[in-house]
Amino acid sequence: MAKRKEQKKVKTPLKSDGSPDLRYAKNKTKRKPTAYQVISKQFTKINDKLPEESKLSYRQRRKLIKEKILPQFKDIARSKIRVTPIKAAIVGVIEELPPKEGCDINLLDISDYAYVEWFALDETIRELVPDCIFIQVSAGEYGQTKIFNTRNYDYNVQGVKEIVDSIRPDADNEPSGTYIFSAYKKLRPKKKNDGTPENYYLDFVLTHIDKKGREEAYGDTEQVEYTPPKGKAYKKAKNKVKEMIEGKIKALKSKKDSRRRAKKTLEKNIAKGNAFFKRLKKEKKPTAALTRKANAEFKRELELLEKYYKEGKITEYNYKKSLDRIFKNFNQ
Amino acid sequence: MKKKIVKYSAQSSEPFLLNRMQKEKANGFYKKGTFTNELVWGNYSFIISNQPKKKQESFRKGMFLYGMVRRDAKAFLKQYDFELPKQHSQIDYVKKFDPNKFRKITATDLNHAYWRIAYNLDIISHETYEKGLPDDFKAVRLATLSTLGAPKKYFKIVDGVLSKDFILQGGDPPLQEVYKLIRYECYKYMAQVKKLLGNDFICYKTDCIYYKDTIANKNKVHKFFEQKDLLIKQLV
Repeated sequence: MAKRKEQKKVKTPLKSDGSPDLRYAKNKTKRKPTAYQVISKQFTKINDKLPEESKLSYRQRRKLIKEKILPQFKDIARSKIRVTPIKAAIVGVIEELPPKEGCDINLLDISDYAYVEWFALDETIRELVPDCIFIQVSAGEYGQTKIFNTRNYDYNVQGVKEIVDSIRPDADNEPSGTYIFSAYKKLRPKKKNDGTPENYYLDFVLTHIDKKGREEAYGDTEQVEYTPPKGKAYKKAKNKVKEMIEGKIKALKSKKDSRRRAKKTLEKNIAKGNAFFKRLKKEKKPTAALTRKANAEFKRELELLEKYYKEGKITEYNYKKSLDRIFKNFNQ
Repeated sequence: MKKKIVKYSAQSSEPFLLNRMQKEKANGFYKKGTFTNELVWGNYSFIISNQPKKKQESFRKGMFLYGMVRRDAKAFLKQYDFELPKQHSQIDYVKKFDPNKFRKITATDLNHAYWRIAYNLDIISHETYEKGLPDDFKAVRLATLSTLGAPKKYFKIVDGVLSKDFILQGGDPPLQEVYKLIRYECYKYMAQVKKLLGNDFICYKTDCIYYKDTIANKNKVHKFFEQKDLLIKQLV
């Protein structure tokens, strides 16, 4: 019988005075990595070597591991899982993936990103910008992000939230169209202007437009010029990207419409319920039937609110606000 | 032109968008309207208001009238066959005006002339007529009639530069005839009043007529418009 390897003991780090630092005292033993962790590590290594446009985001990798790679090693004991078959499985999965589209900024139509309201920036990056290009957000005194790839975009992590939140106090009371983000095509540092997709990035520059139409950009609005080779292949690729973005815009629109409808229905129901509760209050001796009806109305409103919140059609903020209103109306 | 995603933008953003198009050497379309301008670029159609905020509000509130008028006018077309009256001039005046001859001048103006005529001719229903009456909707009710079936004229933007070339979009000729019917009917009445006034007539413009101020003339004019079921105000 094979001997079980002794687990390495991890020494507790010492403080400057020589006493053990108890913050790390819990991790006395190093755990063996799980199958998922081993695969994930190998996947990251392989992913780093892929060309820029084929790289996968952390979320995509996690999904692929859980859905496609882990099941292949389900019946194998953890101690018998070797790196070579893992690598082969990863490469196999990557090869199966369709090539990513829209990763070349030169093929994108800038009009799709030329007029983005400050509050719609996150939505635009998440839903309309392809998930394989480099972008930056420049808002001058409100902040600036680093140049990052959209495949790992996160509203909080890349600093977009911070920028949007710092614009909010100034922009909240202004009419729409006052603070606008507009995308400009630029060249990444130390990269050549030779048409290589990963050499470029989109810079979302904040512009303040006052009532008289005077513009003040909070960043550099100079663009890099690159004339792509003309030909059928270029046209075909451009059309393909155009179709893809159009699809994204349509999907976003239907999502927005659905949200708008949900909000409207909810408002209507709350108002209707409120009128009913008011009428009930005016009754000196409300009948049992009327009280039952009021309870049913209250329940219906709450159910509708829960449903929309679960479906992601209303934000947490609006959910709490509507919940307060429903309770206030009912208890009046 | 493909259907575009509509983005409503502030008046101030029009130069910004036009500048960006110029920088990008982009192609698109531009339409100038009474209440809004429209800029078509890529997948988007930017609707830009060109009215002060107060007017924007009444325009927004009166938007429902467009649908009502169009619906009524279509029903009218189904129900009636009509011929356009003879086209009279929109403006007419005496060629040799002698101020000494007309010591005192008066004028009669029709209240919401086109709107009332449309109602009298059964082009719009009573409900539509009533809803369009508030003063706030003056501009909207005129626009609802004048845009009946009218094609949209889009100027081309080529390489970021606004050109004089244009394309016409949409349009419904029978509905355009309905608007003509209203206008011609109005001019016809004015021409008839002119005839009635004979030498005492001075001029008319669309829905307002100037003539020599006498009680007899005033009575004649008032009686005529009353017969036609039109509402008037005496200006001088």
